[in-house]
Amino acid sequence: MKIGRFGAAALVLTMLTSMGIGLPGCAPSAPSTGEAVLIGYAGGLSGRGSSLGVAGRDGALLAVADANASGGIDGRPIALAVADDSAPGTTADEAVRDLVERGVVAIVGPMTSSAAWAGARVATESRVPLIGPTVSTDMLSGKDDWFFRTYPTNDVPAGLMARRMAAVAGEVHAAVVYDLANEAHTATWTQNFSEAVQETGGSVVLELPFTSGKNPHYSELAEQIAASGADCVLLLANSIDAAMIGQRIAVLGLDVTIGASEWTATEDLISYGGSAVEGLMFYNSYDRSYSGGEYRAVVDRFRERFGYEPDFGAIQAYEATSILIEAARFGADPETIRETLTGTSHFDGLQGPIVFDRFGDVQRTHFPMTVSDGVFVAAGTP
Amino acid sequence: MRDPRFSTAVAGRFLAMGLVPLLVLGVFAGVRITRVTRDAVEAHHDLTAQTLRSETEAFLQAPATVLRQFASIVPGSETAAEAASSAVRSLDFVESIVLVDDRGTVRTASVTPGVAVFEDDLLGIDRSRDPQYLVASTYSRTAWSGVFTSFVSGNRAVQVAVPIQRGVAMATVDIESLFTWLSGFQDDSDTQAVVLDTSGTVVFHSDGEMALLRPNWMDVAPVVSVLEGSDAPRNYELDGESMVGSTSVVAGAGWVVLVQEPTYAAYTDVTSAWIAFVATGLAVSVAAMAVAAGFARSIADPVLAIGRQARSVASGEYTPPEANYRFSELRQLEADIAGMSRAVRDRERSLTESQERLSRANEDLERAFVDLVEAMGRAVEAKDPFTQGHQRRVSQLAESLASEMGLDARTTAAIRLTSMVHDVGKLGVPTEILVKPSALSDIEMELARQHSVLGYEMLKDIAFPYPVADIVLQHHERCDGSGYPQGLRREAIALEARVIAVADVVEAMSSHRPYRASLGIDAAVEEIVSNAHRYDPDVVAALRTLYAQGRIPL
Repeated sequence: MKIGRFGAAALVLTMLTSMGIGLPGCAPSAPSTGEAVLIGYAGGLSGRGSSLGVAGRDGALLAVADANASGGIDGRPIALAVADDSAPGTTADEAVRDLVERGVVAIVGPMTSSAAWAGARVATESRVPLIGPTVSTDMLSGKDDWFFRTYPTNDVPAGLMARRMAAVAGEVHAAVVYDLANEAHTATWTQNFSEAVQETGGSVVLELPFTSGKNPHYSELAEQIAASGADCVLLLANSIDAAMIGQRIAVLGLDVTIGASEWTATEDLISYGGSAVEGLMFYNSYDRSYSGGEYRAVVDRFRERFGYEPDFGAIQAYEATSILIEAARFGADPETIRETLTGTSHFDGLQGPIVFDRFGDVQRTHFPMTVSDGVFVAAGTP
Repeated sequence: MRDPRFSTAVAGRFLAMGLVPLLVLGVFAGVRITRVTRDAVEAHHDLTAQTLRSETEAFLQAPATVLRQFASIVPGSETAAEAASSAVRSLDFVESIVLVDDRGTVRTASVTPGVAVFEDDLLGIDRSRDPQYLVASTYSRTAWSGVFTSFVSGNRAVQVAVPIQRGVAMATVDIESLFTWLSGFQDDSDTQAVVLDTSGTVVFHSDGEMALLRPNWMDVAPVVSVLEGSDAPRNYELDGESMVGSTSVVAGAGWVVLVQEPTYAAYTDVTSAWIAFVATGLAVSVAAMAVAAGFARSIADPVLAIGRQARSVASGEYTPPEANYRFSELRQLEADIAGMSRAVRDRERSLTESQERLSRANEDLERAFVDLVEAMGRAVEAKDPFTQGHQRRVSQLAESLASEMGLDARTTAAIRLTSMVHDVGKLGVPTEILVKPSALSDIEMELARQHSVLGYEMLKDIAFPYPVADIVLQHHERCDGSGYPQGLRREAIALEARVIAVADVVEAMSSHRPYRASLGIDAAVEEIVSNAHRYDPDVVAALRTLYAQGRIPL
């Protein structure tokens, strides 16, 4: 029995040891990172056009968080590396190169067509897949490169916009105000729109370029529109520039029908445009009123996490990131991801299947929208 | 279970007794350390959060204070334009000031020179849907926006709206300088400081990368609590990691300052303290065990040694080597053992001496007895000169026979001694009969034969070590029953008497007698052999052997 007591002393010692380790807050519990699959995100996170980049970043973050919540990729966690392609002194190709150097297996972004134009070249050189959630330019269509997109080219919405304006104004005399800072988007939009307007029997009476951030004089832009006698105005500009131009048009009291691309339609448009952007027309590449369970759940999670309504940039980035993650399940390396993206024609989107052609370009339904009483609403079929 | 070892038991007790206070003390100290450290961590976080809050507050209040000077100024007036222009120029962090009338239309605008906005672009535009305008005009209170990208400069900015008499004064404030200011926040790398606007969006984060990866904190428990106006938890989960943090609310703007640290990092000191404590505890315990074991051994070893000393005493070695123990009790024990050892030795010596004395006394007694017997023998022979030396010679022959027969020492001694006095009864027989040279009459013969009984009577009350009287009584008995006085047969006659009978006859025949000359040894042996039925066959056989070997001592 004495030996037993000796044993008891040893037990006490053991207990002591385990107590030391087991006390709350005492055990080192750094999260295990495992070998994370690193996915990149490149977008404009600073400057005037950043609302799209920020929304896209938040959408990508949510997609990664959702995938990790359901086990990551075969148990491996997914991490997002973020690069700001609009930070002072940074260009899109630098942002993409930075992500490649950080070892990402694929990149979501960039969010604007011009940035994508530069980024796609670096991605193809570096042999890392790049998937642009909101890149619409025709300039990247039909090419066998390392660039993919989940966003439709802008020929379809440009045609729809021309016919919608024609339905309002009859013979369209359009002024197109476009931002040279995102020329890859705006130039093709302008061209597609012009052709479509002419098909309706109208004409583009004014093509008015400006450069965002380079001291645009909104009053002068509005006065030029007024001078052109246009009855329709197409604003191919970021939300703030579009809001300010809209404001100046309202101040001048011009009676014009204003249209814009989906790029313009973020919350900033309403907050800066005020009553001046009431009735502005645009097309959404997704259905804001879609009631499907998964879409609504994502919207709810997004609002809960980020505190604001997801706009098209957020939704598109969420889908693009989810598609990338799905592709990475077949092999989380750049080559395999590219092969998977190229070889797969259907992915499950939030509002039904997303269909790719063999060049990685996508077709979608376009939903007519407008601003009414300070909110974006469905406009009904024109 | 084996019998416990003393040294193990002592070590165990020592350990247990040492450990219980150590354990109690350790748990107490550990809990205390944990509490103190936690308090310190919380106080540190609180202080950092308060500091950041007050700096942020001061920063945000400054433009509001400036805008309050516009309280009585009418938007769109000359005075308004001058005042706005003056304010924008004097405050380099204010990008623009606009005065909005009560319908939401901008009437006065002043912009920092050189930024990408023309003042005339701002005049006349509608701000009625601007949330800050709505708050300031509807609720007549100062309103701050969340952080946003200024369209004036492209920098991150906030907007402050202050109600004035005829509308709302609004300023766009570049908050890059706030970041620079707050970046002065220096701490160990594990502590993060975050400033969030009312939508939970990061205004400032001490970790730039985290600001990119976690742009909004609406899903973080303490942030949600503070924004909802309830008490924020100190401990919570963030992206699956346990955190400890402090919150503080920026007055007016309602922004949240959160200073946090991963729990494991915050309590590194506690963890280290516990590890140190446990390690020390282990070391102390091991040392205690070693000391206890050594101590126990220092007792157990002498005990075993003293045991060996005791065994050595038992085996007759009374003066084992001294060990010179450390402890007085052990030295005392050893001295006691040595004392006991001496006492045993002394007593044994004295016992041996007593035994020797007793032995000598016995020898003396035996010698006296033999002397006495011999004296008695001589007394008989003095009365009967013809038989002088007879008893002694019988004794010699009888002893030889006994020896030849292989009889034991005691029987042999009885034979030898009794032979010396076997005719003592003749003292009671009249001398004339004893020495009569002619044949005796029947009566005389009867008297002569009385010497056996007389000898018995003389000796029977003397406490000889042997049955001397009985042997004397029977020494004339014969195995065939022809002897006297009782006519006993064979085994009814004592063995000693049977031996003496043969020796007596042989000696008598071989000696001169008053009534005849010596017949010689041969005739004596012949007489015995030819009348062997009268004697014990073993004795006869022994006699023949002695005779054949010429060893008859006559």
